[in-house]
Amino acid sequence: MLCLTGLPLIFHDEIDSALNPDTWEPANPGGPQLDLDALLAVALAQRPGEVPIFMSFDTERPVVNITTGPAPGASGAEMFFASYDRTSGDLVPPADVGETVMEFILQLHTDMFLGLPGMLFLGAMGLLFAVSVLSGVVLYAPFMRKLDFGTVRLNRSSRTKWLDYHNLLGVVTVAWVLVVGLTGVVNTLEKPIIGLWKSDALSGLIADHADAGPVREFSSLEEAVTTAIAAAADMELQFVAFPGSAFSTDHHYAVFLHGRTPLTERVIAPALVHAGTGAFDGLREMPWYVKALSFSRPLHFGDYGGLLLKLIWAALDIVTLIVLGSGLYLWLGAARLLPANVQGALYRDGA
Amino acid sequence: MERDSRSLGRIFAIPAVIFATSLTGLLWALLVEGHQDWIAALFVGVSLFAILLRRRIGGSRTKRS
Repeated sequence: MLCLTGLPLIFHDEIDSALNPDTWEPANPGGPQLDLDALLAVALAQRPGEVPIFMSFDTERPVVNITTGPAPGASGAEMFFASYDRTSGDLVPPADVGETVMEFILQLHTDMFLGLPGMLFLGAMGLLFAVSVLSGVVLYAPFMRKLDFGTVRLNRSSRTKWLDYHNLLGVVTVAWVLVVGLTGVVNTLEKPIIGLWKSDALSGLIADHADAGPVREFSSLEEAVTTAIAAAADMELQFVAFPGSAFSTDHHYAVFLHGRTPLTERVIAPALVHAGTGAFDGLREMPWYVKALSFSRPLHFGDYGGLLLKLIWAALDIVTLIVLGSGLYLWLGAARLLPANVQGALYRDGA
Repeated sequence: MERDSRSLGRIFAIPAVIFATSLTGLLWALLVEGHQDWIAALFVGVSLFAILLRRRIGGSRTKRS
C-alpha cells in the first residue's frame, strides 16, 4: 500500500502543475509590492472576526498566503487559507484541481485516515520492514554461496527463478529501501517531534520572555520581518507564525527563516520579534530532532534532486513492489511445503 | 552457474559497491543543485543498472551484459 500510494506522491509537483497550468499574472508585474501590514489588513477585512495564524510566501511569484481562523489556536478544519497578489492585494485563484485526490493519497500514505495512531502504526510497520530487509541481507549469503552475482536460473522451477529475482532485486536496492523506509519511520514521528519541540525548546523561549507582558496593540508586521531578516543575514524568509499560534508564543511574531544552500534551505529557525514593542528577542536554531525530521522528508519522497532522481525513485519503488510480491510468493510456497517437510523429517526420525 | 562455496567477501563485494554508490548518490543530491543533481541521480540509479547485469541461465537467451 505504501509503495503504491508513494508512486504518485513522487510526482506530486508535476501532477499539480499539469492539472493547474500557471496562467496567473500579478496585477502589476515588476511594480512595487504592498507591505505585509497592508496585505494582512486586506485578508482580515475579508474574514471579519478572525485572527491571523500563519503567513507564508511563494518563492517564484509575488504571492503571500495568509491563514486565518476564529482563534490563534484554531484546528486545521477551522482555518481559512487564501493567497494574495503582493502587487495589488487581489485574491489569487486557488490552484486546487486534483487536490482532493492527491490529499486522499497523501493521507492514506501518511496515516490511513487514523491520525496519530495510524502514523505510529505505519512507523512500526516501517521498522519491521527495515528488520525484514536486514534479515534478507543475512539470508542472501547462504543462497549465493555457489552462484555468481545476479544469477537467475530460468531453467529451474518457477520458485527457484523467483527466488533468484528476489535475491537480485532485493540486494541491489538495499541502500534505497533502507533510506526510504527509515526516513518514513522518522516522518511518522512528526507530531511527537513537533510536540517535543513545542514543549521543550519553544517553552524555553516562552519562559525566557515570560515577563514580556501582554500585547495590547500589535506592532508592524513588515518591520518585524525586516528586523528578523536583518538579524540573520545568511537566511531567507519562509513563514511567519502569529502570536498564540502553534509555532509561536503569545507575545511574539515567530519569523521562520531558512538557509540559502541546498543543505541548509531545508532547516528552519525561528526569530522572535515582540508583537507589541517590535523588539528582537533572539534567533534560535532548531534542535537536532527537528533537523532530522527536516532531512527525512526529502529523503523519503525523493523530490529533492530533479526529475531524473524522481524517475529513478519511481523505478526503484516498482522494483521494491516486485521484491515484496516475490517475497510473498516465496513465503506462501514455503508455508505450503512446510507440512510435507515436517512430515518427512518426522518419518525419517521415527524410522 | 553453480560453483564451489565462496567467501562472504566475494558474495557481498558487488552488493557492497552498489550499496555505497547508491547511498552516496542519495546524500550527495541533498548537498548539490543543478547538473550535479543529475550525477547524484545516476549514482542512485546504479542499482537499476546492476539489474541489467543479471546472468540469465537456461532461458530462451543467456546473456551477460
